[in-house]
Amino acid sequence: MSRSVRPALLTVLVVVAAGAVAACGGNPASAGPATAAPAGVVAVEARNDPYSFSPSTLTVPAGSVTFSVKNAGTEEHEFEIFKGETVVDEIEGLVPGLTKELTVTLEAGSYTYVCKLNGHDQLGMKGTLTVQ
Amino acid sequence: MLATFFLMLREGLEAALIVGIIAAYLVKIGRRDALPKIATGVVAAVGLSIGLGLLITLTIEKLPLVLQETLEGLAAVLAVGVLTWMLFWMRRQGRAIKGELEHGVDVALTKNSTRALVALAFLAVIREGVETVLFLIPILSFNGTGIDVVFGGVLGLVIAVAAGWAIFAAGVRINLRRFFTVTGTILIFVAAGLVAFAVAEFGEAGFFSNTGAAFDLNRVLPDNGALGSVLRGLFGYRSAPTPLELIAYLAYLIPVLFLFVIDRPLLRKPAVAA
Repeated sequence: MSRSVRPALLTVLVVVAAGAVAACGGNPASAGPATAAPAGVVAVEARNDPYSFSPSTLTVPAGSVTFSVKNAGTEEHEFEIFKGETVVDEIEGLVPGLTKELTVTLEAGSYTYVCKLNGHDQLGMKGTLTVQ
Repeated sequence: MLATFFLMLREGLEAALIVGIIAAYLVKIGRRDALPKIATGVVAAVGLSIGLGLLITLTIEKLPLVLQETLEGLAAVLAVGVLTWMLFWMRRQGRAIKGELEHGVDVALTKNSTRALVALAFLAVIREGVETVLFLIPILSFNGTGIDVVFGGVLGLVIAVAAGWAIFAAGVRINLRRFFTVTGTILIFVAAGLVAFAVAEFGEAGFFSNTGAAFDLNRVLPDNGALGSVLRGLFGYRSAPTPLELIAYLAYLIPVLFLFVIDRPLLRKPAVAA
């Protein structure tokens, strides 16, 4: 007969994926850099000469914080905010030269920011973040 | 440039490998007619990846972490399910063929098996596709990066696609028996990598604690270096997996490989009488 109908499964996947995006579009809690950052933007540089974040200590007020992380090194890096052993939020795919922003809502407390990629944190690529 | 190249290469390799194997398989069993459906699945996944990537970038910049990790974990689990099904389905077909015919066997493809193959191609591409687009958009917008970085990223994707094509080209040439053994084994490693990946994603989403390192090969074979990127893209290699990730990897790999291998004689040609 004529050409066959595209599998229904595909349609289902499309709907599921679209639904997921729609759902999180309705949840501005942890996103929305356009409107966020009453505390201003916190600039951080990632380097690998030696492996480090600059600055390596940060203090920010509780609430919504925007980090602008620039990879000033020559390797790929990540910027992951940890509370204890739990990832709070992260920037991935930070290739050399790239600057990416991350807006995250933080409660008061002690955090760390690390690059776990290829064990860069063990080479010193970590910082402490105090939220007060 | 190199960092971007490897980033894009590892994002694209796994999908290219899976699609290449499916396409080669269809040609080998004399079902070239099903290729357009696979192509439709791939094109739909690429289109949807670009659409979703643009939508996410334009509206919210970034999915909430928990949702993102959960979705990626679920997509990986789904892919493992379909991949495992496909492995044993292919093996069953191979058993029927008894390895005596090398091509043009014209294996019956039921509606369901065709659907599953299309779904697998779709899943393989969209799983990495959305993330790849999310990585590519800031790079392509020259957000602090130069033309070499953009070039590196595009080249990485091109090489990944070329690798998929090479796997397809090589796959249609080798004989069916070897094709089953080689691609089956490769796909089991791919699936095991996906299982470990799912554990990592669910761990990051906070469903359970997933810390520590079972071993640390970061200095020896980093997973963002040249060989490491290829191994990571293909088999989910990590240079410092957590104990839980390693256990999950082996818990899938060992039994499935065993089941696959013990049945191998059935795929063989009857022993050649000397």
